[in-house]
Amino acid sequence: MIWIPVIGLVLGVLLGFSFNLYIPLQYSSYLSIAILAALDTVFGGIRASLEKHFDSSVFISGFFFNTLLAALLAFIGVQLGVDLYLAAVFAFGVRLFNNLASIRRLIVNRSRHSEKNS
Amino acid sequence: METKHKVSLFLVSILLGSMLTVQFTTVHRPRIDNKVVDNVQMNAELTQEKDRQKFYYSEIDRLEQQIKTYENKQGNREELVKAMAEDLDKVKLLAGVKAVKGNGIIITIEDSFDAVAAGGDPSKAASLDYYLYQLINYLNGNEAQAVAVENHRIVSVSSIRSISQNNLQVNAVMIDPRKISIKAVGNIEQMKIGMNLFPQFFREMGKDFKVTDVTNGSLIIPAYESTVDFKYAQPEGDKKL
Repeated sequence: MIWIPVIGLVLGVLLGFSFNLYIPLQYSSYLSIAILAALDTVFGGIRASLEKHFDSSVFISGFFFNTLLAALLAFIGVQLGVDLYLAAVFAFGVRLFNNLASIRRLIVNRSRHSEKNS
Repeated sequence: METKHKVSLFLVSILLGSMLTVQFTTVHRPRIDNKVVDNVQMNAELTQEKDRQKFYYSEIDRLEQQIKTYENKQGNREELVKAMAEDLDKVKLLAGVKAVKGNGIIITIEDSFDAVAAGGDPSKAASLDYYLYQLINYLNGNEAQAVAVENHRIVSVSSIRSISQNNLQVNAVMIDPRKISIKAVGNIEQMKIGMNLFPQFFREMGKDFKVTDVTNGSLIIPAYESTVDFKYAQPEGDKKL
């Protein structure tokens, strides 16, 4: 199961490189925040699927909503002269590490269970 | 895990991968916007280049015409000499060994009690020669076509040196530094823009800086009068001076 997002990610990277897409440099900071939000959503999705309560509508809506909200927050911050993107970096950063820690624990527990069963 | 869930995770991962690549490509793309050139500057440069192109075309026409003149006058020695004398005049004009006349400005730099009272320091006048040469440099860079200091024409071999506080040497001739007149024929507005910082420099030396426009074409810049012995510099090629 864990290979699905990995394969998707690799495919996305290959697609991106083959089309050689880029955005104006001044918008790259917004995209970086959006990527952080997207990473958080994907890891959240992996965690939810491991915990057996994955909901694809929550996942898809979360991906787009979080991504756009993070970019919007960064944009508003630039307009107001306040580093609002730091709020997004902090929030998504903490969630990302929590999700990663949960995924690690779930995988470790599962492997222990399978060892006991065998 | 349902197939629907797998598909959604897979598609979102593809999107995330693409976003990562776009960001990577954007950040690592060679930046061509390091030299941000604004439109005004670009237009000015374009106009300058167009003028230069026009000048070169006219120069080609002139030289072609000159060749034709020489070819046509080969039989008539008198006319050939006349044509060559005209060319010599043009060369003299370029070298500054012929007096010229036109519109321009007269700059008068003189000792001023008012400037001293306003904080000017006459001891700074020790570098008067440096600032005069800088001023001429800025005039030349702003479409001045002939410049003279106290009626001494400034050419490529000219020199300006402060000998002492009361003696300034221009083209090896002593002049009184207490009142200096600089004449420049050229684009009046452009020259004024080019030297806009200089009044302040000279006021800091306790000197007054006045500019008078001459717009009736009567400003005369005398010719360079000294002789130059070209013992060090020789024309490239076989011919010697």
